[in-house]
Amino acid sequence: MGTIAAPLVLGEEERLRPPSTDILIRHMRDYSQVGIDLVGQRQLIFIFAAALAGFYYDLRLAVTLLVMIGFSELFDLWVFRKVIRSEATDTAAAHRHLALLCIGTVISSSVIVTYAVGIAILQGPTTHFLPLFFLFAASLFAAMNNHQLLPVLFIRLAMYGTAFLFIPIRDVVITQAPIRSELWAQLFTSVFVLFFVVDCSRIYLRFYRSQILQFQALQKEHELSRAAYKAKTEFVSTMSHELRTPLTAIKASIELLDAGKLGDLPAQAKLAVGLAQKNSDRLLNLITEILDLQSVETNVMQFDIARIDILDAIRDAVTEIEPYSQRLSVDFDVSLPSEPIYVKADRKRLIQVFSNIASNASKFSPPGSTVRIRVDTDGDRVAVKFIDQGIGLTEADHRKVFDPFTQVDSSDTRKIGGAGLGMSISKRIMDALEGTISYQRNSDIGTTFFVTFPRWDAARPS
Amino acid sequence: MANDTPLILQVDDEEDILAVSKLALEAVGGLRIVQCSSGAEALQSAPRENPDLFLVDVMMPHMDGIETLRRLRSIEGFENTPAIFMTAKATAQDREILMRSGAEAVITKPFDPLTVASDIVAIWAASRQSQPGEATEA
Repeated sequence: MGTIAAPLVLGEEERLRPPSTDILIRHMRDYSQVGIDLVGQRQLIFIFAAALAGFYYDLRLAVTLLVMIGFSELFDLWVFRKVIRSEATDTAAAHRHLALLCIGTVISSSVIVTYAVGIAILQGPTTHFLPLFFLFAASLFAAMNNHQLLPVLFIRLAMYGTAFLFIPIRDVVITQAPIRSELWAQLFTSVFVLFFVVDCSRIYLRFYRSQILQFQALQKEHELSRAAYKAKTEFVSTMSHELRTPLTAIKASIELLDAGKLGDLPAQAKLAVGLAQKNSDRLLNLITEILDLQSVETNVMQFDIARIDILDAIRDAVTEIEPYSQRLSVDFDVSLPSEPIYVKADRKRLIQVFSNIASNASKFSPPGSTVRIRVDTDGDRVAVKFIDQGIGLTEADHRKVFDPFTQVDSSDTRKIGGAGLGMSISKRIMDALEGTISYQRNSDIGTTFFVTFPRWDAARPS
Repeated sequence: MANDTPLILQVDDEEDILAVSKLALEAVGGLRIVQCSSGAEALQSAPRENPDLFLVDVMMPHMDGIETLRRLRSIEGFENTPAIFMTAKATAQDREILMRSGAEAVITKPFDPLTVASDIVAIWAASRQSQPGEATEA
């Protein structure tokens, strides 16, 4: 069951409260499993004990007891198997099983008690080394291996304890020994040892119970966090859907107005409609980004992996961003090799990553500057570089760049626009596609963003 | 009756979506459209109006789009009527599930009101081609 870090100190109420059915079934399973595991060890002990008894005291007694313990073991094993195989979870079945286990305990304990008391009687009033030590060993065995089930432990200790006391008491009674006789010393010693064995058992029991409690606490915590996670995922998914519905009505109305399909608009009305159009687009993009971020974070984003010409993807991304960059008066200088370079990726997401970096590069570049795009191959990897002339990003900015919702300079948010989600999505996409995305401050001015991939040949599965 | 554009039966629980769809499809797109605000209403309306195409919203209370389409198609005469789902759910998995529920196409919300009419006509024409000889009017 693993190691114990620190024993839970159980209060009196907790120790004495009867366990619920689930816990009882678990205890019974544990006990039965231990019973089955130790069957070999037990038989060795019985054979050894019988051999000693047969050789030194009485062969008939030894053989009889060996046969009786044989039956007892068979009964026990049958019950253990039954308990472990059983799928029943109702209280009635559990109590039936418990009754069977207790019956088995009474039977095997009786045989062991008969053994010890039998030999003690044959010995007559004297020091009873063999029987008392065997009883002591049996009690310790019970403490170590029966602590899972309180009733069973109780029965064993009660029966062994009674025999343990009966033997020296019988001696004292038969011989009417005076208090200074060694027979009385034997009796007092028995009582003392009995207390010790009971205490031992209590401690084992406590350890075992605390382990179970700890395990249950961990399980509960796990369930809670799973539920919270699921709730969050469902919330985002539902909200995304809920937000798109009114947005549909807004965008469709605005787009029809803007396109002049619902009549001519005076100049200022056109302006207002244009503003509404632009901002409802922004809203829609934000919702899409949030959903993207959510799905890539929870590993449910689906990728359509194929052999992609990375140069093609770069050209498409630039085409997509060009109108935006033109408005910011930023140019692209794209210089690519003539031969296609293949990687294993999802084309749509790859373009999304490139567009995102290119648009960021434009956004943070001063008007009139140029963003250069280059491709380098280095052995089995290919690197796409986006070199801008804007504010140089430092190592310290790393978190701000890649964390969702933060922009490097938040005071700029309103002027530059965007929610700052793109980079964090891009990073996660690259992680999922087994590539990397990083940046470096340029020695002269600006930043270079690197997107690296293993090449198709290197990435091809064997 | 013009046979080159379909009579559309649209089902959506959102009033405003119906209103804006009517604008885009009828006023601007020149298509004929009958609108219902629930699956139950649609099941009543279909035998009466005899549409050529179903345009079904997916997320509806009581009877969702998939169930509505299934029931519409089980009405005699409508087993092969082409259908298009409209949905705000945008993931690839959602699309896949909808396509497997027997629709010809899936339109995501927000839709483009300038092209949605011609898109629908194209989808309807394509489905007609794969079912030659089918009577389109009772």
